[in-house]
Amino acid sequence: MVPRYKKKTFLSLSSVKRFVKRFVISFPFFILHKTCSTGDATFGRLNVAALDTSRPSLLHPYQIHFQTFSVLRLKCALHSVLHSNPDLGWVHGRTMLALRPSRMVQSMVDVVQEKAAEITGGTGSYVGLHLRHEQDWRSYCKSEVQNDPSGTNTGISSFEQCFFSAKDAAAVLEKRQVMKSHRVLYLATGLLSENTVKAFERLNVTVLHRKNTWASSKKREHFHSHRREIAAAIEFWTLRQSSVFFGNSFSSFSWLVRELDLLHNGRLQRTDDTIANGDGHGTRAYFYNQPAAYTEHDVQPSETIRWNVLPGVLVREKNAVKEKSTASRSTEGPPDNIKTSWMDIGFILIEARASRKLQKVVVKINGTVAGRTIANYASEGHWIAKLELPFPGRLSAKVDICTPLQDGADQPDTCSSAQASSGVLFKRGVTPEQDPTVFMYFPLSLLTTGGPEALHQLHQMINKLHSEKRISVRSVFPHGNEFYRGKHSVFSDHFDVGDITPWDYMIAPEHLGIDPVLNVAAELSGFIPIVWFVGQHVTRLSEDLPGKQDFMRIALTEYFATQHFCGLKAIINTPMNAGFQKVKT
Amino acid sequence: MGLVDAVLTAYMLNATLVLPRFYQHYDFFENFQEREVPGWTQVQQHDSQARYAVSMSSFYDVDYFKKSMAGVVDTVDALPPWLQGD
Repeated sequence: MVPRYKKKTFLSLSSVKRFVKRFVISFPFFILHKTCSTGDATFGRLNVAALDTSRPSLLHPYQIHFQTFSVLRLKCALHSVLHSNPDLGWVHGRTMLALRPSRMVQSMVDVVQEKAAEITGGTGSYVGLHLRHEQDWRSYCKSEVQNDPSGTNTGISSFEQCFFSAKDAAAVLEKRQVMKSHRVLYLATGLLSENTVKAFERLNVTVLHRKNTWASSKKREHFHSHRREIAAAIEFWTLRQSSVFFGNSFSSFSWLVRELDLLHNGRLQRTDDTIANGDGHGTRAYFYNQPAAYTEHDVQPSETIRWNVLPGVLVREKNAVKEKSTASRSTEGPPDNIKTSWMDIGFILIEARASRKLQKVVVKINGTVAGRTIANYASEGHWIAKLELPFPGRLSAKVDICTPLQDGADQPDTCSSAQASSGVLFKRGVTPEQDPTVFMYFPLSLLTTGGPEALHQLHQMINKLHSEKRISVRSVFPHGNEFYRGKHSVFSDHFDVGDITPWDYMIAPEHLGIDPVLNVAAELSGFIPIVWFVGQHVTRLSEDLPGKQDFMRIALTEYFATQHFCGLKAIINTPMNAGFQKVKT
Repeated sequence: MGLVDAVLTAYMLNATLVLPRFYQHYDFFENFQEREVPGWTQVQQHDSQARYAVSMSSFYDVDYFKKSMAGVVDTVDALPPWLQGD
């Protein structure tokens, strides 16, 4: 009997069958590795299904396609659109909070708590420590520092900041007097040695870890019979349920503990009020490789960069409406959070990059906000400006962006006024009643390249968002081809004054460069919107037309990928495109 | 994090989310003997086979997940047979 499902589309995320059967679309989960080079090993989990030669998989052509050139990197453009969308931000938080340990995992965590209770004589409280000091982490820290010495993209300013030995971490706990009120420490690490344990035992605490915790337990075999991932899950929830948590700020494992902490305490504010209450199990999450004050407040700018937690994400409007309507019927009065549900984390990020190779971009931010002068910021190529500012309210600051000649690039002051474009910068999302518009900008003079294809593909996806009334879309294409036209999109061939607002997005071809786009935006509107770049450098438009066999609709190329610090994310090829069209019709 | 991306995509597309199976792999740089896990060479040879994937319920409370996500995304435990193919 064929089961009946309400909807016709299915999204399969099975690790073995990681593809969609009827609705084929790009996923950021296919490809985990950043590098795109020939050789099977670089494709990571894509190989799981694709390289089983005895059973050719549908993923195989995807891999071939990926090897060729057609790569869509969602993270830099569409992925960012998704994650900065208020509605989807709400779903993100809700999903995180929907995760609870399985019964088996919880039973293993309970063993830790029982042990701690035995030692402490009742309270069962313990400190959880995630010590990332394995060999692979040492290599990772070294490479990160080598690749980005200034730490602009990674946030890692030195090897010592990234790599903490057991002694270093113990010294931090001692300095901060963490163990003064705790007698038990649970140590989660992949490199457990006698010396490691001793480093913490010097603090006069009982150190629990995976070897001694379950050694006398009936569940020992249970633990050992499970593989690395489940053992990691058990340790994750053990840390999550500790009274105080210390982790490494550059480890995603540690970040997830902190993110849950933020969500459960409503501090990330990506959820509605009901979910934000969580399970009431807030952990005090800290990092031993960051100053004590680092985690005292909300999510930090460096965390938003590293973990793609975009600031300025709002609690979705319909919740606020619902709260109001509920409040009117309630005898307990209106909830307190109607006005505060529009979040303001307290900083903004401005992100852009120069498309011209070997040319430095100097960004000058001049202005005064709330009595504080905003510092100048200069960087090469990709730049991120972080402004910590008091909100709520609309930020008004003067931003000058210039691209000086290469020989003068080291000197920010060499920007002449003639080279600079300027505008007023606003925080995205401050005005919730204003729907953002995604502008796709492509001037007529650049039609000979393949850039429009990338934009069209992105356009399709954005149309989906628009059809659900999440964003507005207007495309500035000189040739608004019917083929690409979505029923909710609007084509035009020029900007008008007032079209662009500070909460809008702009997507422009990569090779266009930052200045023309910003100049257009700034001149017409006086604002500098958020700008993303997409591009295609391999396929010429004349060779990449709809209807052509093996037409490849997208894309963002290997070159593009290497010029950005986001990883390669997904691919679209003929069968995917066919699936896309099927759904469209 | 990938799970969250999955839910976001399903939500955006109004699609039904098939709960993922979690693939368990070995880290070959670690000492498997110490962990007393037999047969790791076989794992290496048959890395892609389905028997090394476990259901989401091994890690998470699936009932709670479904309940919490009700109204956000529809979820099913597996693809229907007529869609599974090869």
